[in-house]
Amino acid sequence: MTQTTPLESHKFKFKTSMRGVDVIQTVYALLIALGLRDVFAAFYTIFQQAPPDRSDNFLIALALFVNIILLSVRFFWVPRNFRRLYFETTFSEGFSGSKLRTWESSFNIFVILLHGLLHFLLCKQFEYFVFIATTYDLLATASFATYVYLHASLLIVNALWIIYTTWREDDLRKADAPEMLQAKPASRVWIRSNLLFALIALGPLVIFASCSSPLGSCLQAAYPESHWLSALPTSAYSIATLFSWVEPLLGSGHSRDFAIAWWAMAAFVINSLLDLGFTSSYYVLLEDYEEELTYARKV
Amino acid sequence: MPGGRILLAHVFLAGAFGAAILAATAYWRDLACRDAVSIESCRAKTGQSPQEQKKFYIAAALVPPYMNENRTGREADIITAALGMGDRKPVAPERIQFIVEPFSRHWFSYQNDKRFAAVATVPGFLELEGYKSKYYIMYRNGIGSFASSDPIDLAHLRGKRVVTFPGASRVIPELGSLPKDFFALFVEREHQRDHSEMLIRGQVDAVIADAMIFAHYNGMVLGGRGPSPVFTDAFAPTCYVMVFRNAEYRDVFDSGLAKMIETGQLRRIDERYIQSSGLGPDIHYVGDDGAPKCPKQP
Repeated sequence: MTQTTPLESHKFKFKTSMRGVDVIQTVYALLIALGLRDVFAAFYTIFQQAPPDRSDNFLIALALFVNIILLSVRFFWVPRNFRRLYFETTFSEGFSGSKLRTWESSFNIFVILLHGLLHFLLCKQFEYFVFIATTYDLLATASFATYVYLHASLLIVNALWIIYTTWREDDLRKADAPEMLQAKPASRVWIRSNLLFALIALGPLVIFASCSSPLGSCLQAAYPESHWLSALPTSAYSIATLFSWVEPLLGSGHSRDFAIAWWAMAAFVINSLLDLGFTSSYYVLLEDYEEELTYARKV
Repeated sequence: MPGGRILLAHVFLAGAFGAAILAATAYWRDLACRDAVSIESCRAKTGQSPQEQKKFYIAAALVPPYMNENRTGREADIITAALGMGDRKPVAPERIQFIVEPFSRHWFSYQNDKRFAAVATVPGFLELEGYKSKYYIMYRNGIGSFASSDPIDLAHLRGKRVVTFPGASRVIPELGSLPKDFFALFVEREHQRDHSEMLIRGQVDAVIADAMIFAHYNGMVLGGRGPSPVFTDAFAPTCYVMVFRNAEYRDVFDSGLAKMIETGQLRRIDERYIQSSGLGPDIHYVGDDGAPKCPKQP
């Protein structure tokens, strides 16, 4: 039996929400999961090797695995920076749509996917490292160096993007915004930590990669012409000098490449632990925006 | 005219159905031959010999002039000729497709991608899935420098600055046994063009590399200007095999290689590249009477 209701009694509800960002988050999570699948499959190869043929490479592969898992846990939440930016810019307009320009939204989505791509390449590089380390030990160093460059690139891209989103938040936030929005987000911790630890990890690799001679000679091979910038505390030279002091502690009885690997891994793991230790609540508590308009037809 | 339209629709549907069946059959044939242990089993499964199948993909390492980016080079010529001259069912050159990747990445691709029928430039001791051929190519490792026109050996390099390829200290046993402070500088760099540039700029005193690769990059960097560095064949060669997924293709390759050595075709290919690299006629490779011995065949 069909019941007929007069049209006049209907109310129409229109909702505007931020669920579009959820879609981006889902696509991104899928990309991360694709890479992680290869990481787990490669780790299974190491797991099968008991006892391992080459203990140095086995230990480095284990460290890489721990490192990539920690990184993935953090980077599952990359799109939340866009969510927050979108939320803030929407509020600043008095709930009438985001103040972000259209191209800015597209740009942010592109950067999120770029994070996914770099993470995927990093996972593939881990898989390649495990293959090389377990079959042709001689080239493991070169593949490890590529891994560190990729990881550092990901951290630097992330830091630069957060600098941009933070600047836009500050730019578009209203002076009378609620306390929640006025609070300084964890982004400042992420920016500083990512840039600092990427620099620390890269420094010795730039100077010493595949060079087994003293610092001065390796430096001459890496940079034939000296530059005043090398005197800066953040220069590769300064970091490599620091590394050369602690090198005997890191790799006594092993090659320099082994010491470089531990140095880089330590830098990346500390970076992840600092992030997860101090800012993990930001990953769970997400800002959300939902607006409902009710329209009743006049009788 | 509805009858005509219905007829046309049926013809169209029948065509689409037929095309789908053809595509599925081709895909199944491809799968069957990919996993087939022998040419016979492939033919038994599909009714077609592998010669009638699609491209024969070979993963190859980018090592000019052995294998250039454009899929040509000394290795490409040797492999194509050997597969084409093999007994029973040779592989036609137009079927062979080299996929060129950085050295060692090509092993990884072969291992993980079943579309590759073979992989080139594999050290004898490296364990990859499939069947190893006989040694087909050797790299003549030695010392290149401007120091002297006379041949030099490792002892001359004490206190000198040296650049070489990654893993050289373990590929060349003499280098691995040296004390840490033997060289003033010892760098392993992947890109071998850098080696020639570093030598020509005076950043290093010597390069340890393969003769032909060294000569190739010297030619590129110098461009015919200035004196060329001198090369001394100082170390044991590094020999490489092919690995095939299918044992019978391996046999095709091995028999073709044996014929090439017997007829002198292998030497003719080598000589072509020796001349274009500017190396002397006294350098010998696999199959030559004067060639050094490779390690025991795996």
